Amino acid sequence: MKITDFHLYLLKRLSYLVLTMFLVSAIVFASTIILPGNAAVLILGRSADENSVAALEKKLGLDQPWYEQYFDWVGGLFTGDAGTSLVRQEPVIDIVVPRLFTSLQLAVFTLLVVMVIGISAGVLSALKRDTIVDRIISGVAYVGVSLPEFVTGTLLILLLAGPVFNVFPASGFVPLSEGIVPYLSHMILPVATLTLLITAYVLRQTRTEIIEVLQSDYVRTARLKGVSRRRVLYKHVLRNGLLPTITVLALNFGWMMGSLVVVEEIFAISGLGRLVVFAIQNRDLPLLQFVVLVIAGAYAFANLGADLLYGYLDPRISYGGEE
Amino acid sequence: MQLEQTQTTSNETVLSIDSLHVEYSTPGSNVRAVRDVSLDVARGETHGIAGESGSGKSTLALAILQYLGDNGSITSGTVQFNGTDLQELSESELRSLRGNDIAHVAQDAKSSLNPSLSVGEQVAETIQAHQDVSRSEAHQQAIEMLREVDIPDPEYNADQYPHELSGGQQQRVLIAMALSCSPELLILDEPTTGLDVTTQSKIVELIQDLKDEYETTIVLITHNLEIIAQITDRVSIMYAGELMEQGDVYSIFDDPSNPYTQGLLAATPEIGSDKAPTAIPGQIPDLTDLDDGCTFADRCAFATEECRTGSIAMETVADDHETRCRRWEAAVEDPIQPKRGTYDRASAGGELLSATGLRKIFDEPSTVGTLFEDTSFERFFDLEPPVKAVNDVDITVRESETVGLVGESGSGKSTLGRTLLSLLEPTEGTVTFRGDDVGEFDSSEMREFYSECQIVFQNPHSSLNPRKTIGQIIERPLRMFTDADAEARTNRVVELLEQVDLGPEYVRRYPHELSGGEKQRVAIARAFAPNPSFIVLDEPVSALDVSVQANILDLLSDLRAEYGTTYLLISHDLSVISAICDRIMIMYLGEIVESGRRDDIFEPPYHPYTRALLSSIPNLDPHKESSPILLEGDVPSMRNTPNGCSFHTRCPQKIGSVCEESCPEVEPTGEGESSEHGIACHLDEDEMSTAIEGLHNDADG
Amino acid sequence: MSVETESYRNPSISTRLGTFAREFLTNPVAASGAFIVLSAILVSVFGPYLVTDPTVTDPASRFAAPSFLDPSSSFLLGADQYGRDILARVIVGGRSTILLGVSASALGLALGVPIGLLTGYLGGKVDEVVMRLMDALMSFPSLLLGLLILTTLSSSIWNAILAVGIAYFPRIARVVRSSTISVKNEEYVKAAEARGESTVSIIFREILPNVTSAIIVEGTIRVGFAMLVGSSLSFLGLGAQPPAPDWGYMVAQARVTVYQSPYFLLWPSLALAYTVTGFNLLGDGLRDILDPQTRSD
Repeated sequence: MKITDFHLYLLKRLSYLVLTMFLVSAIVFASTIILPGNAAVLILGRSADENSVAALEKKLGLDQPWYEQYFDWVGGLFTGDAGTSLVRQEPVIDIVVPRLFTSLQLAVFTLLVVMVIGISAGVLSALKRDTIVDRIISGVAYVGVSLPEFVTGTLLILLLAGPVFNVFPASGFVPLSEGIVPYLSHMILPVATLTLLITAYVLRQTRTEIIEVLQSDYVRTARLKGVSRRRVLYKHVLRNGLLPTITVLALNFGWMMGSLVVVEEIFAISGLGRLVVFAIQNRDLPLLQFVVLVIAGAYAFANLGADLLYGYLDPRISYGGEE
Repeated sequence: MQLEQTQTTSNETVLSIDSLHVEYSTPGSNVRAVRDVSLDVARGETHGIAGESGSGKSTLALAILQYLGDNGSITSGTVQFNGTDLQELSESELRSLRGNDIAHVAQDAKSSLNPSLSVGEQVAETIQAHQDVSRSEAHQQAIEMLREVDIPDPEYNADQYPHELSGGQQQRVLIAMALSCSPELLILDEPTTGLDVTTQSKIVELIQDLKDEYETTIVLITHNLEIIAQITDRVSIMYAGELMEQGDVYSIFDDPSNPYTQGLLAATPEIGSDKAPTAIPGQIPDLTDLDDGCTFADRCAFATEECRTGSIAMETVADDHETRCRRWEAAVEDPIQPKRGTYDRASAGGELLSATGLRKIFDEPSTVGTLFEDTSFERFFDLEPPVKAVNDVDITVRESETVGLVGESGSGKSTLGRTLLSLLEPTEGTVTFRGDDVGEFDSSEMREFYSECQIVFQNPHSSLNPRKTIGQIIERPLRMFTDADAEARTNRVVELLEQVDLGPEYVRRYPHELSGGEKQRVAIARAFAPNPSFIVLDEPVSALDVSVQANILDLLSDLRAEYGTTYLLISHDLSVISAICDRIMIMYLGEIVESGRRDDIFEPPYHPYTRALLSSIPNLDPHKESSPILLEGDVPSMRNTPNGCSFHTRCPQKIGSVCEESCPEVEPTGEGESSEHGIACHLDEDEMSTAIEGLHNDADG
Repeated sequence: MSVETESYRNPSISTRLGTFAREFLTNPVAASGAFIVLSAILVSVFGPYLVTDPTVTDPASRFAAPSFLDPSSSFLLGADQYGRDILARVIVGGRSTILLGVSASALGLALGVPIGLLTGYLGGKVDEVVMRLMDALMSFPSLLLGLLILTTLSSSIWNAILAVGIAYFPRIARVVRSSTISVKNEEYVKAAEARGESTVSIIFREILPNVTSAIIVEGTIRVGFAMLVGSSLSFLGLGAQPPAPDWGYMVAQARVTVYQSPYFLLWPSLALAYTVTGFNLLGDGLRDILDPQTRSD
């Protein structure tokens, strides 16, 4: 097979990904091991006696030099061994994988809703620039970015899952295998909470970008050659104006992974976010390290995906591949 | 081919504009961009609209098409096309008119093409918008149109995206798009601006050919008076939103009857004449706040009190020749003439700065440590060869002389200038200053070198720090390089400002309060502050209007005379270079192909590239037609410079394999007496001197 | 002719401020943002002296716990289950939330601005290495990075400031770096290099004054974000510690009893949304006014 520029680009991006993940793992490791606060003390509490601390240190391998600990850990990751949960006493991977699946469903679902609402509202806002429609959309967006997820989530529960309108279940997650209606009804409130938070960013980015394209010379060219409005909108405005939105979506995907911590806590969904809180509360370091690594990794992969998609859709970034 | 200004004009009027006014509303004020413009364009006519920036010429074009954006509107007057009042048309009627009956080619081809659609599709969609054809038919027609505008391999290039084509090809695509529905009227807005002169002459040639073929009526908007002189039948001269003069091209250029037109012509530099470009004093008025009377009165040598009252009407000078001037008879009586032969040749002293075997290569591959660089992968797999921006250049600059360095975009001329000043580190070769190797300088010698050698950049808008006052900007080098105390520095700042014709009140102003020409003066004052012996002028006038350009050139000459400063003037414009340089070097793809005294360059023998460059500059006199030598293709990439002579791929006088294989050295011409003139070419002197068959050369006459 | 010698060394600051103030007041976004921010800051600075100590419970209701008091003349916004005045708690809670937002943003600027300036101006390998590290840090959602840091350190408002500041500085560094890169290519920087100015002098004299607007805008908007992340941390039980009445912590408490008394949830939420909106509006307004791109030349 011929090595095309695209392969090289892919190789380059993948090597950056490896590098980023290496740095990420180092940061995770450093922040839990090297920073002040001995892990064993952290686990046992400040009042623990020295002997039990020493015993736990030995059990956890904390008496080893830090670099050996690190390489043990990373080495383990490569062989599919991310350690054993201190609290649950089962392999960390077995705990994380099903919860990752749950969280991803929430995230992907939200991303789809955000794309539909954010992009269409952004385009509408740009086309109706400086009209009442634009002002209302911008106003709603302002409120959206200013309300933290724990407020919107709680308010949504209060409004739609409680005394006012009891329409949706207030908590829990039901897999799709239990039927589409329960699945969706459990999904709606957490997805709505995340959507409210993130849509505003996609919307504002889309609006800015579309306005810029509307003022571009090539849109003027298209209009001055008598092309229909519809075609100007789809082929010239949207095609160019929506490209940067891909990057913003990937950025928000990572951000959403962080918001999951709060949202899953509010809606009592056992996903990665709640696992983070659990690991923190129980000082379960091996679990915490791995969950955080997975979340950061998800973001890095989302970014890679966005870059590749962007490159595929934007001819200006050419890898010169002949398809 | 012969550029003939055939009078195919009939009496039938295609476009008729009657006392048109256009305003743009901006917060707080209205910009009266076009005022009282009336003009008729007859079928088959090529009508030129000339004017500097701010003249309203592009706005006029968009007003014809009823496309003025959200904040622009026609406040009074009419635009009629074949008798139809275009303001009466509905949006959908306008849509079927645009691109089909009236086509518009916008300036700046690069940004006017959709970056994410193939050029073929962009041409095809115009055809589909106006004709009932299938998608594949439209595509076929698009390919034919691309062939018509001489896009090489149109089947292949139709599938390319705009960024994959050169600037000249992008312009051709726009023209193909405009002509695809055989419009009756074609409006070309600055179709050659931003293109190199050799590319420009090819586009002009193309427009001429297509006009004959499609029998299109053309409105050509440009600031370039030479192009107007060469290809239009009738001319409108615009200034500050008004029509100053209008008429037959010969009457306008032979008997300019408006002081502004006379001033513009006097300001335009011409090669091979003893004319010294002469500036128009002052600057364009603020279009939001216009006084009564003539808008040009403040800059006009003929202005009297009567010019500052009421509104000035068009007056008839002759048959088909009108001017907006109450004093036109006085202006015709004693027209503004460019200064003649005021230019004194400086007597050059000893060697000041020289370079031998200078090379500057970017992206030099290295074996280690490039992992983090974005280019590392391309490097590693050898996909991207390095850029040879300066390739084995020898150059000597002597005290008190002005050396011109000419080249088109991508010739490496700016890189050479910066490498000479140690702003870029040479990859190979040495630069010596007053006989000492600059590369060996210690830090105090380097400081001395920096104070002796200054640079003035192209873009006046970016060369001054917007957060500093003019006083602070000029004072900085004084603080760095002199021992003067605060008071002495202040006095010197005021003195320097005075020398660049700016008053002491400028000391406290910020750059954004200054016009482009004024900013460039400040940049020049800053360069002169430490009393340098050598200044690199990197395209110092190319961002300025022609009337301001002449002014800056004057100023540079005056300062040189006063301080005896040595200049290296870098420009793409041979006319500018010829106006003030003693010696000239021609650069192509990182190499110097010809160098010599000013007259050596403009007279045979010529390097074939120099010959092409000279022939490409259109003549300002409409009676003398230009016959440019059209070079094939585009300038090759600096990453893949051709073997042998770098010009052989485009050379009309290529002899054969010797040109492809061996790289010619710069050889002196003549028998010693003119030994300063050197040409790097395999041709013998006769071949470089005599006219090429089928082409004649009138650059020196 | 006489020129006031010193006048251009210290450019007439009063006239520049005057222009800025005029533009500021006529920009509805900036003016309303400034009004909100100022009112929030004033209330949280001086308010606590005007209300009863929020940690003090109402003696009448302390034995009837859990007891919520509806709004009344003595408790304008009602009282919580311990009989504590909600108005007082909201006002005092503003102190720690706004303090966290402003300090964390300041810390982010203190770390991010020098890094952004240096990497942006120097470029090359230094830039590549530092930026890869910033990318890695940015792979962590800021809330998660904050959590991670707070777990290692102990929970306190100061550690929360540290955590949020660290979580945000890579983003600030990126913004400053990209502004620096665009300024670096301006010809006045090239001109400074051509007269042999030192790197320090170029960064401080030529670049910094021209990226200040970007820094101010970014710093302002980051305050709002930092308040959100900070109160999320408090909501999760890290960050500000009880009984300090942080808004996030108040919402967490109120959630438990939301069905009995929605007011308790409503007021801190509104206060938070109000203040964050203020900083966002102020930041956007400042961008309109200061951004050289939208400024006519």
